[in-house]
Amino acid sequence: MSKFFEGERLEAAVAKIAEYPQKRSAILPLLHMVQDDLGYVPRDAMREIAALIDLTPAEVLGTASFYTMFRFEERGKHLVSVCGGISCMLLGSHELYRKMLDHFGVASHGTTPDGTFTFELMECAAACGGAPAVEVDYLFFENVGPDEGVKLLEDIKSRGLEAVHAERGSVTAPLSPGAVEAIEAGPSPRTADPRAQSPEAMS
Amino acid sequence: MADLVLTKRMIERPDDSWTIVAYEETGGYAALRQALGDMSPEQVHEEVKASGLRGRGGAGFPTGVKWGFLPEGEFPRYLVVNGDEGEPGTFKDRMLMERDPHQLVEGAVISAYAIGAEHVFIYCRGELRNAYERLCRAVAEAQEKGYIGSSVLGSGFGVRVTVHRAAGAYICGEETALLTSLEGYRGWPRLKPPFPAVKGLYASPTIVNNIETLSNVPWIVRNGGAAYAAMGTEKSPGTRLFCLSGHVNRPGNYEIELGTPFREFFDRWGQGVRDGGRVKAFIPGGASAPWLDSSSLDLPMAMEALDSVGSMLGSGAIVVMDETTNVVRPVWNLVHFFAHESCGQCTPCREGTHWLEDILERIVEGRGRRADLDLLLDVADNISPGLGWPPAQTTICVLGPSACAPIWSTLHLFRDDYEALLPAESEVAAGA
Repeated sequence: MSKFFEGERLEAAVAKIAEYPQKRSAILPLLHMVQDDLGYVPRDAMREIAALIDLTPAEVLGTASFYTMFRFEERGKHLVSVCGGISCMLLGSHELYRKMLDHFGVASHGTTPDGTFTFELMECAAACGGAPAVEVDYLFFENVGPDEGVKLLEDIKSRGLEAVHAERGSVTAPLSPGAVEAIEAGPSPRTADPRAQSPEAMS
Repeated sequence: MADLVLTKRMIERPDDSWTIVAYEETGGYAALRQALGDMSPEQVHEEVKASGLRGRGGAGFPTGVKWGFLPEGEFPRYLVVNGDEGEPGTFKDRMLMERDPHQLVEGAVISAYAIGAEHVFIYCRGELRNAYERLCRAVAEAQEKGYIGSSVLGSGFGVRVTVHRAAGAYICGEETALLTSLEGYRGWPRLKPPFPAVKGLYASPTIVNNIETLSNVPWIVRNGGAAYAAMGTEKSPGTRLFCLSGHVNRPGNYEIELGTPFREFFDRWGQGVRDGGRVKAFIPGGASAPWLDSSSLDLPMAMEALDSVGSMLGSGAIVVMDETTNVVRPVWNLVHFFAHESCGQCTPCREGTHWLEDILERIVEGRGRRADLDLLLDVADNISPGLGWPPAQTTICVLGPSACAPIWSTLHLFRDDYEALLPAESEVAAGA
């Protein structure tokens, strides 16, 4: 296998390392560079990273293996991360996940036979206001109903992630529908100034 | 109604609030000019102290006081911004990074000036691709415009800003684990003391502040600390972003004045519970906070009020559950989360959280035993002796005790839910 860090990639890595007062801090950014390109981090790439920042390969693996985002084996073309956190679970995300797996005939955390999707049930995705939430290659889709998940993935498979995300995905955390009303609602109707309330009075 | 401190721009310009153009057109970077032009670092620090601003990451420590812990005359110093948002129920920092990254960058640069930091690191959660990309773009734009650099706006004050992408480890939201991670190691928390202010990043004096905390700073500089302190309650001044989720009709992030009662928040902004139901349980401040029931609905949303009932306002994440909910499955969900995220350093947490998860799993699956309820408390007590909040701990950080809080608080409030899942005595006898 040819080297990963050559030419422009090597230049980018050197620039990244220079951003930090100590080289070792660049471990995660360099691992991300590899994974963003290849979808996973091969052992040889970790050897290269070790050489770039004066560590042993074992030290790089020791750090990398702590972080759940890094994968050390090839995965499908798209990573489908269904949020399993409490708010998404309360609104049916575990059932949504199960339906996707059943439809594509794969086990939890498995990859479809055609290599299109690898699935995972992720920890809280920070999208609780849009529960149930799904990330595809770390791009958000929110308020995904139990029957919509499969349709969404089939759509991505036939039309591509970019096109589907542009139409259906959340480019950013949605503003709360009530946020504007909250300003217009005027003073809060609470009867007493909370400053006057002692902790005893509250309990 | 109080002024909106954090979300005014994103509400008024929903289509481009994250761009440098929108930011400058709506008064952006005026606070930085003001701070560098008219104020000494000490004066900026004084305004933040006067504002009474308290940390928005969970612990609620007064920001100005924290800055004051830096040892005099020791350099280099670092400012680290905690954007590793991952506390279940919390989704406000993501919104601030995605929708108003320049507000954060301006707040961070002003704060670096106040504390004499030469380098700012923004530690952004890895799974938030859009947030990371927008932050990187905002930093590049700010650099081009001279808001970041070796002499910011020609003032002679120099600062670098690096956006650091994390890689999926909740524990790195704990400030010492975050620093260990930023140094390129496994994200293990460190014993305190020494506190980061004394020995933090690369063993240098370091301040770690949350995204929302620092996003308040431009407003405080422009309007003065006293104006900020005039909002909210005496001990919890200002506004705050509350993340509302679960069984409400209108979940979302809402910036409201501290001190609003939960009931009003749920009814007015959340538009009530789904299907016309009622609140059975709610988590008042993120996954680590002890749960409350409907008898606590009239509490004001202020740090001191939650402290007084043995819970906390924490990260500002509120998860509501309606009366159709059996609480044990959501509790199991949280305990699974903490067991998964335990870093493995301390035995009580590494072993105990998995035992708690196993016991809850068999209860949820209908294989529980009556003695399991006391066993849960017994195991939890070994992680967090006394089972109270704020917690006693046998561990370096509070992750272990956080896993216990949902258990002991719900066993106290909703023991019937646990008992309902236990097999009937006759089945147990028949199986024995």
